[in-house]
Amino acid sequence: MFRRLVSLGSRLRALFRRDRAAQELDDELRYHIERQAEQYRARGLSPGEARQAALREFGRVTQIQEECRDARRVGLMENFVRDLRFSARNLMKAPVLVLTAGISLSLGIGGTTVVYSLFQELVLTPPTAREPHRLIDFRMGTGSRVSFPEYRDLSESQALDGIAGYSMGRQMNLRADDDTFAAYPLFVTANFFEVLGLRPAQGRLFAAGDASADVDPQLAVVSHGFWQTRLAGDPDVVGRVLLVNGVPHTIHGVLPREVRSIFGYGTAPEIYLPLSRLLFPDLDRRSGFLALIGRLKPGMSVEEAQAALTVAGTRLEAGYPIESKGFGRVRRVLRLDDPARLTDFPIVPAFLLLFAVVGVVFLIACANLAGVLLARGTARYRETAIRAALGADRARLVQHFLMEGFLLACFGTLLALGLNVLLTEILNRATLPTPIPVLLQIQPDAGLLAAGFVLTLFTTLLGGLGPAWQASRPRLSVALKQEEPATEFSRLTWRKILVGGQVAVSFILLVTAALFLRNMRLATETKPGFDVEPVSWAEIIFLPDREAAAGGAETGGGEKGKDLEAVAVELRSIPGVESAAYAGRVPLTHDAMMMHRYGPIDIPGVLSETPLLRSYNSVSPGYFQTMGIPLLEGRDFDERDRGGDVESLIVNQTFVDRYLERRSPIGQTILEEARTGKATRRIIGVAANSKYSSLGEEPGAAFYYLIPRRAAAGNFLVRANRPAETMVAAIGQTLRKYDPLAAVNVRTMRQGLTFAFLPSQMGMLILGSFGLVGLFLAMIGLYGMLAYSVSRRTSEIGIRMALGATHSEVVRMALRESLAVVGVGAVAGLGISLVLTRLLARFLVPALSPNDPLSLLATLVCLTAAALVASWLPARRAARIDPMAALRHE
Amino acid sequence: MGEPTDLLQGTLDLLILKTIALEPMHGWAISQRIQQISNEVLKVQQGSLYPALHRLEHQGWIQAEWGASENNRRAKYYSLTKAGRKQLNSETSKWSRLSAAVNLILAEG
Repeated sequence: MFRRLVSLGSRLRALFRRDRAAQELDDELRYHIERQAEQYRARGLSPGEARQAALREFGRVTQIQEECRDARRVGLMENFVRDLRFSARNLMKAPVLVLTAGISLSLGIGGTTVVYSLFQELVLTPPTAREPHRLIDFRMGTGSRVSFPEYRDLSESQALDGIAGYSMGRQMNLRADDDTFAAYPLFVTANFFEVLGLRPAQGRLFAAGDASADVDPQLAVVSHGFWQTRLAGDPDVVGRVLLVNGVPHTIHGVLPREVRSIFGYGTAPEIYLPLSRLLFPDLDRRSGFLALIGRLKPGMSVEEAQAALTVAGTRLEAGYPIESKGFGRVRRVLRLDDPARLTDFPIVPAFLLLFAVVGVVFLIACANLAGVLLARGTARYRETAIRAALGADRARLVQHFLMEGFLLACFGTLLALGLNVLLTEILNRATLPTPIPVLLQIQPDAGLLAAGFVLTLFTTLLGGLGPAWQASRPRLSVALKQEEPATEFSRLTWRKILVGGQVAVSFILLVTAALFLRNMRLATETKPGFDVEPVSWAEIIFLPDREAAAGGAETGGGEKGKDLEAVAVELRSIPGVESAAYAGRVPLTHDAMMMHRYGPIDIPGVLSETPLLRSYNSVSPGYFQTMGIPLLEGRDFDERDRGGDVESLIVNQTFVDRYLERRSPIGQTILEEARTGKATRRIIGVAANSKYSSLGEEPGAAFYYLIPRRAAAGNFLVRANRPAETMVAAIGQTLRKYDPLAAVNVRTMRQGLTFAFLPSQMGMLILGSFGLVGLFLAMIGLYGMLAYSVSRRTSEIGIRMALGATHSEVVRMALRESLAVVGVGAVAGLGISLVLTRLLARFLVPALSPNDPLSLLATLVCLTAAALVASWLPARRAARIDPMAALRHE
Repeated sequence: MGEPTDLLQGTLDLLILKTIALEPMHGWAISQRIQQISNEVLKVQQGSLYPALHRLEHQGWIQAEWGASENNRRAKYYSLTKAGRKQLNSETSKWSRLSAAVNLILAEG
């Protein structure tokens, strides 16, 4: 290794001190010649003759110098610099080519770096924290969350340097001065910011000392975005009072803008609240809701942390064998900078798909570069042949040709980096319809530069090596006849193969894009099992009653809160409203993500203790009518169902089909596990099936319970006999008039569903743009190939025209050539996509086959049209060839 | 990265290494010495000598140093390095084996 370094050093020195090395070589050789001459003089020759003889004997000095230099292998680098200059000069003479290749490459490389930047931001960059590698994310017990007392016991066990917990609460009513809005607060343990090691941009972040849950701290820390948008960037924000569900909270500090939250995925919670019984009554041992992070002691390994936590957990389990069951086993310990912790959403598989798609676009761009370079190789065929005949060896010629590829790749990468900065800035500013703001903070960094450099090298090799190899093997005899040898595998054939490949790959990209487009359309048209167009959705979060807020732990029950039925009555009085109802959750919205429950049920006489996965919702009388879900048997809930020992239950058709065959469902009792033993419910109705938490879900069992009349918040559904858009304003007005202090959020049901469509929408957008970029690149490739073919066949076409071929025949001939290539490529693409698109099935709605004929046909039409456009100009140029000029040229 | 060594070139390398094994020498003296000792049978082409010297130096078998010559002029002196000495030994034994084998065959005829 050391010797290599030394030798590299001497090579570099030799390169930069070339003059001196050359001088020394001159001295050395001159000395030799003089000594030789002296010897001849001593033998009696005259000084002039002696010198002549010595020189003659010595031979060609320059050649020896050259060989000496080669012997030291400075050659490689010196040639590199020389080739660089030479190629740069050559390329300057072909600006159109440079631009075409540059733009092609910038799209391919730019797309790849954007995906890389996103990956870096969303997966590789850990949440903002002091020494993030010393922080771990761990799970204990049977669930993924622990209760507050369990957290406290673990924290006091001193197993780690610090343990903090956090939990996303439900949406709450926030009020700053006269402005009311809804937001999801992040509840954290008092030491959360200390364990993370965050610093405020303004004010202070609360700490274990001032925000312990025992003292019901009324403090808040807000995000930079919240401060800017909701509080108008108020410079005196610290100390301002914010009402959270009516409870005053003093703003203690503001987080810096560049904080990446503990959740990952780019989410930026707007407000951080310390746990307190005022807003979070369930701080007992039975309700687990906290996710945990911990700070490793200095020098502690993840394994040691796991062992320490196991000890603490075992002690906890021994003390509370029922509540803390399973705590002796630590389920996962992952460092915060380990992407494996991002398991809530399948983000890594999504990125694999993205990388695959963008890699394909990159390959198409490289194929364009290869096409361009192949053509250049042909243009310089004679030059190459002569150089080869004069003794340039093959490696040297390859190096020389590779240089053009390298320069073009560098140019493309430069453009690509510009494109990257532009696109990521757009992404940074984009807002998504997510319940918690998503904020990307992509900054160009060393990683991006490194990625750019690696891609440049890849591009050079992928796009440049083949053509360089081809170009470097001409034969002098044929070259002097001014022509490329008509071998069976000419460069045109290579280009055709390249373009055919591009077409095939673009075909695949376009088919996936078309599939996602169709998917989007079908998803929009998919009957969710309820009516969308006539329905509006209003969320309302009231201020909790004063007595309820003061009542502390008892507020979880049902009797407190506003009378929701009274609100529904108000809503029904709006002109045009046919019916109004309220429900615990609204299907297919972001609110409905957790609408499943898994647990044992008993059906006396049919099943006992059988685990069953079912969707559930609690709804008011009139819900089914409002949503347009038919009741197939029995009746809807009504006021008779309130009170009484046995609750009423409505089930869906799937449940009846699967578990109650050949029995009358009405009147059947069902026992479900509940907090206070088992709850007995009696079926009073059967509703038609509908979708609950996602459009793509398989049909499953669903239970509807009767919702309590009073609650602190409600989801109201309003059905009108006119378009929902026209109702939104009136509904909002009515609700605000009913309770001016409530946070109100009214949308059409269609708008509410945007979250459900987000995955297919994003898929369509991303795949669609990559598909178009791929198509565009393939068009450039096709155009280049045909233009090249026409220019090579100028004389042939001239002869054909001289012999009587008409213009249209020539155009047809050129088009036939290009369409043949497109045809072969498309068939290959079709074959591959028939297999590949099956992998996409899980992203598509069930009604859409991955081999959807309409998508395939659309792709084919689109591709053919693009091919015709790309071929038109070269074909016309062929038809304009002047036979006389063409023949003279020969 | 080693250059392909044909017999001739390999031989020249061996002769150079052997010649400077005794004392540091400059290029001209090396060619003179080889000529002398071989009784003028072997005449070294300058066109091969200097590239060979530079190659051997680059390979680390010999090292060069500027010094004063017999007639008090600046000349580039080449001497063996440790690696060069090892190389000389192995090349010498290789050469002995080769020439012995060739002799055997010739004697047979």
